[in-house]
Amino acid sequence: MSGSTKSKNTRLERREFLQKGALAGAAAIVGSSAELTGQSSPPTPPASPASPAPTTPIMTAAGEAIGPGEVQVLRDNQRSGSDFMVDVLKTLGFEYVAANPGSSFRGLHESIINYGGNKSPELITCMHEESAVAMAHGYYKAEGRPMLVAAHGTVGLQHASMALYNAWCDRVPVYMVIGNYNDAAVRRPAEWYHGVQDAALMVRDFTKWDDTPWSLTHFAESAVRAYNVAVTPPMAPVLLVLDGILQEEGVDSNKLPAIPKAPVPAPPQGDSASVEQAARMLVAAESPVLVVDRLARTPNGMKLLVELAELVGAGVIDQTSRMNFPTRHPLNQSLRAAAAVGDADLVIGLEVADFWASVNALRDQLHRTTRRITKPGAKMITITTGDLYVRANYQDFRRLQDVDLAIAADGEATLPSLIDAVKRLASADRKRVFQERASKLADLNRVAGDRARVNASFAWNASPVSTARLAAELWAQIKLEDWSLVSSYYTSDLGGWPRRLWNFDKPYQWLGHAGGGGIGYGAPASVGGALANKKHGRLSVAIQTDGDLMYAPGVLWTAAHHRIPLLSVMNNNRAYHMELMHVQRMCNARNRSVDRGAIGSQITDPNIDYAKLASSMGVYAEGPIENPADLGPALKRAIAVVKRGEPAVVDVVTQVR
Amino acid sequence: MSRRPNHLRNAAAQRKPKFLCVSESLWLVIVIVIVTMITVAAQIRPTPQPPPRRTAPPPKTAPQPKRESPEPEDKKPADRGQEGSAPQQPAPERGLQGPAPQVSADPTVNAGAALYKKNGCYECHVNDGQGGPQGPRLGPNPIPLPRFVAYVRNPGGDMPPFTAKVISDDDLAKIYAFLQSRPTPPPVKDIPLLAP
Repeated sequence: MSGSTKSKNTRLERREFLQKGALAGAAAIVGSSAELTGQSSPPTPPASPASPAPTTPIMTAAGEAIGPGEVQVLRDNQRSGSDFMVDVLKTLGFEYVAANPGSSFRGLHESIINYGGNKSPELITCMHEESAVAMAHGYYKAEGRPMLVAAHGTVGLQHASMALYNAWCDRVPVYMVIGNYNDAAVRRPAEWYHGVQDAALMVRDFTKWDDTPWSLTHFAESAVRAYNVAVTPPMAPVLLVLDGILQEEGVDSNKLPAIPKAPVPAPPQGDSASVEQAARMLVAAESPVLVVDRLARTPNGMKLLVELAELVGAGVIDQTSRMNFPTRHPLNQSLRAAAAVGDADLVIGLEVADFWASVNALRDQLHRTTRRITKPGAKMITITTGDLYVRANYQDFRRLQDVDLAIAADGEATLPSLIDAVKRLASADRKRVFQERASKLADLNRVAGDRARVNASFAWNASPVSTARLAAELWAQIKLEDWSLVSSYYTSDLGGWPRRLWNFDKPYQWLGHAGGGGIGYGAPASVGGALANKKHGRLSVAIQTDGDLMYAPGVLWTAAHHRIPLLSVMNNNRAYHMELMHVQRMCNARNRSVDRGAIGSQITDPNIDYAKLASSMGVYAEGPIENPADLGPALKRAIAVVKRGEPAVVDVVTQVR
Repeated sequence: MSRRPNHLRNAAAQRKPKFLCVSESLWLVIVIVIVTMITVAAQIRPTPQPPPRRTAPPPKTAPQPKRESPEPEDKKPADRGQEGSAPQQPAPERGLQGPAPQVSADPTVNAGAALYKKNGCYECHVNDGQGGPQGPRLGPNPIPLPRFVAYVRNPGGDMPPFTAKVISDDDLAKIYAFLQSRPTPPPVKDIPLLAP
């Protein structure tokens, strides 16, 4: 009884407060209206020094005549729809939600920070939706779990679309929710620009699944289904459209729908007969090579691949969309990939996005030509979830390669049965052959590594700093730390120097590529990767190109604001250099002057001061550094900052490649 | 052509005052003398100094590569400016990341450095000819000059072809001299950072 009385009194007090507030608000509206219509009140006479300053009445007769509005707050036995949504999202284990704020998900925003306590997920403030999605992309590849992204419908999703495309091409699960006021009858004026009939349409070609729940029951099922769809190989982004009214209206607490507990499905394995056939071919091959790209979904992926390669003494070519194989493993033949494929009598592609390009070459001249680079009679096997998921519009499925055996299955999930089959089939004689082959491959690996170091020595003392020197200086500073290179191939990686000079042997030390080749991925993805690494105490390092950073440099602020420790070393060649090479190629093909190729792809005049840019957002920064001798000490100082838990930028003016 | 009637023009002339009762010609002489005195005085005054700097000096920026010497007219490609629209002027050279012309006692090497940059060789073979992901190392020991020229004219791989219309044999020889002049790096064993 007492509880009921207290509750009633509380409601009454709140009602009185809101009534007063409503009246004051009405007065303010009246005042504002008068100003807008040009009606001016009589001028206030100047106060005499002896009299107190006159007070401006907050109520007017007109204002008092307006009755209080209907008080609309949730009753104590009610919760908002978005509170329930947070309940559901918490069951999915999201650690963070990256978002640039938008009114169409204001209900969810408030529920996350108040009802959810801003924990699991914690809101990460982003300055661009593309940055939010790319952060989630990088986070997944370091952590192995999806990050939630929230965005405005339409305008926010349009900003996010490029990053979603990258994640889709890279087969990375990003879990995205957007807001939309589906009911046109209750839209505020601005919501008409943001309202859309089919919000997910614009990204449906490059998301794996989307839905627009019409009830909380519908939301609960779709939220769990979306998670399972996203993380089941082949993985890809998913999108839920959350109706604004569904977020904001209340529902009785004792009538909330159940949250499904559907487990994540097991990834598809190759069928036993096909795996047995693959094992026979592998055991019988004289010079097999394993080409891997998106193989290692989990830390176990690298262990399994090492086991298979060592079992049969096969060379491995890591195309590095994931951290698949240790760079200094004797069987790693990535530095002589074309030669290794050319020598092979069996090529096995494990989750290779572009298997055709692994065994063929395209000559980029005026009249393009292709040629096969494998020797005649070489056999080919593919094991990939790519065969389970081909869409029509975007052409990421690549050319169709003739192969001898295609297994539509997840590569990592299929490796254990393949390893078991090889163990069964390998005779003692074959095992001796495997050992001899492994010894020869180790020699070739050593020669390739020595050649890389010799190549790195050229232009060693040059200014601007050579990219090899930058990689070597950075490696010297981090090699004794628990480090993670969180930048990406398309945007940095210094033309492969880290992979040539550094010892990558842990799954989190390399996060792979952008996926779709969309520039602007590198900076936010590295911040996302660093966010994932933070709780593990890893030293996150990015090699950050200038053109990529300038797409959305505000992500540096996000790193500073959320105290995300990340050392970002600028590979500042002051150009969109790859595009410069493309234009030059066109100049040559048309037999025209090549000295204008730089027009349109240089980032000069003025040069951008990245240290100032970073400093302005609260990030420790040094540079521009042009003398290679200055680089080591600068990196040391910046790493000290990062070890304190903050981001740091070192701007290095580099040679073009 | 004035439309003012004569009587008004005469009236205007009559209203022109004789300032301080001095004739116009005398005033002209006085003005010339004063201007001359001011000019002489300015020449003997010390040069004005800039005001003290009140803000921090601007941050160091990359030294700008020296501007290349103008290309001789007869070396310019014949099709320059023959496009449908007016050709855009080349971008200013400052700040470009190609190699700066080398300071060398050999003018051929300097010319080769400029041509290496101008023709975009550095884009794939990198600033000092050390090579990169898109192009192999070219210096300091390039392949023999005849093979070098032949390959540039008709490359076998992905390298774009450079015809004689785009770059002459003479200019290729200068680039070759630049590549030969590239410094030999120290042995890897003497670079601790490159230890395996």
